Amino acid sequence: MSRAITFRFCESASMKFMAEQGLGDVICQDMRERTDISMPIEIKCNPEGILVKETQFDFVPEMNARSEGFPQIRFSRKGVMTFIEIIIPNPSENDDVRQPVVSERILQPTPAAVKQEAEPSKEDSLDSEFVGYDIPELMEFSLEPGLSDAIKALEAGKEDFSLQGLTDFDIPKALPAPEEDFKINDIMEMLRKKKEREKVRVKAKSN
Amino acid sequence: MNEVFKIGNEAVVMDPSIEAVPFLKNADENFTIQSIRPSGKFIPRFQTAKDSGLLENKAHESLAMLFKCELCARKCEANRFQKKGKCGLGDKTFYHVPFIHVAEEPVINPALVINFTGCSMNCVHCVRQVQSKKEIHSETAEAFWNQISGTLATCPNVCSLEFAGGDPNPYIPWILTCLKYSPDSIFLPLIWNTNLFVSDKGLGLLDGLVDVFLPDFAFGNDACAKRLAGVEGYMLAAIKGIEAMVSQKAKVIVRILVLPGHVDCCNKKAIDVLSRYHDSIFISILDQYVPVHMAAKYPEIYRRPRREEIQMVEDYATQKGLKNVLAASDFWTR
Repeated sequence: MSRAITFRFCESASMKFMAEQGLGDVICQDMRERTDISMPIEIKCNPEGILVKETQFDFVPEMNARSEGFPQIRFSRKGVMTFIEIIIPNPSENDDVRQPVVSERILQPTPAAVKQEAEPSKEDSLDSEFVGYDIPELMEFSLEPGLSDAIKALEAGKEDFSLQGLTDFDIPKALPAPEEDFKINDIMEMLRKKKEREKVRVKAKSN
Repeated sequence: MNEVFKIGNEAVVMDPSIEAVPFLKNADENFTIQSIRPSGKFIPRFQTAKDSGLLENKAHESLAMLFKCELCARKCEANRFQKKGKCGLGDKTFYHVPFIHVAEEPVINPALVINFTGCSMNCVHCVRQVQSKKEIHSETAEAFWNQISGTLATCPNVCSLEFAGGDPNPYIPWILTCLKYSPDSIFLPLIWNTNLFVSDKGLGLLDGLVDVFLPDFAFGNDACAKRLAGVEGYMLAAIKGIEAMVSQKAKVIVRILVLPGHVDCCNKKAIDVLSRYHDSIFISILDQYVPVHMAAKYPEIYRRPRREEIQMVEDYATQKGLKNVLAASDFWTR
């Protein structure tokens, strides 16, 4: 382990700090609008580190955080610096009966894809991004512009679609190392197998 | 390198390099690169050992150990030429691109750091698990020293050469072999940044070669070490490790990472152990813990340490008579 430098800010300075890194404008705005700043958010940035999309959860589903063991973290880059926001959720008492309500905003169109703003709804599901696959442990990555494009390309019959450009954060073990190019079919095949394993695991657990 | 972990109103900058200085100055206009250097007459131990033949003998001995590896406290005895040890490492060497760290303790700062991958421990809060995993693999000592020389050329004021990780202990044979072929112009103190899950055999190979041991005393009892790092017999290994480092007459800076919810059971207990060696070691208390990797599974560590926890550890260390390296302006002249 190497030594690190810790900075502490008051709340307004914290917003200013993030704004100066080019990440703050929308975050500041949202934090001012939000009454409960402990709500987890998911922030997507393009390769230039510019905030492009934000998704709000009213709580983090148990399986996405506690049971899987991984805190929610988000990466973005600006120049030589990598920013990693750790979002520690504040789950309510009724976690076991509530479903996550998701709302998202596109803040800056990317060359790849533009999604319309989704209304928060219990019937809303992120499954549509995966053409019918429900992969909750990948929920936090499901709206990644690169992967969304890959899904659309698959639907359009373009099989030889490179997924290079996915950020090299800690992708779940189902996926290969991020530096490599993939065929979209390889990715989908791995996701299908992961889904099958999950079904078996859930079934065994319920038995 | 250059990762900023932001949690609430705190930001922790991990492995800040030279390139991060503008960012650091932007965040704190008073930021400076602090450095307390050894005198111009300082001769690194590994260079003396190279001349005397000690390094050659140690390198040869260490290579033989790969047939039955006991380089760390796991002592798995794996033949690493044929299969990987319990650390997950075989006979190949992987490390991250060397970089110049600008925020180590002043007595070794700035440091040219080589982070090796892999570790004998499996800490659930390991920050390396979420950092960039761009690794390089070098077959030859010549290639390694070309990288080091190239990096040094970008910053002539580097104060030390630091082998870190993960943990560098599984790579001792390769590192000693590289040191055999080090240029005579590399006249930097050799820093060994390791966990304390070490073996007597592994540390014995470093005797007479390391100028400063920089171990992390992570846990204060076996139960927490088992639960949070998956290792058995941590305390015995840690205590024997400290004793071995002190006995080698090298300088020793023990790092204590303030672990949320574990101040009493781990940090203070570690300080109790270290107080026996208060004349022989320095300590460095780190407030940089971030709840990453698997930390969410362990509620008590799923947060940043509170300021009062950090203060408690600092006060306890002072109370126990331990010398903080941040106040050791005479570190190199003792």
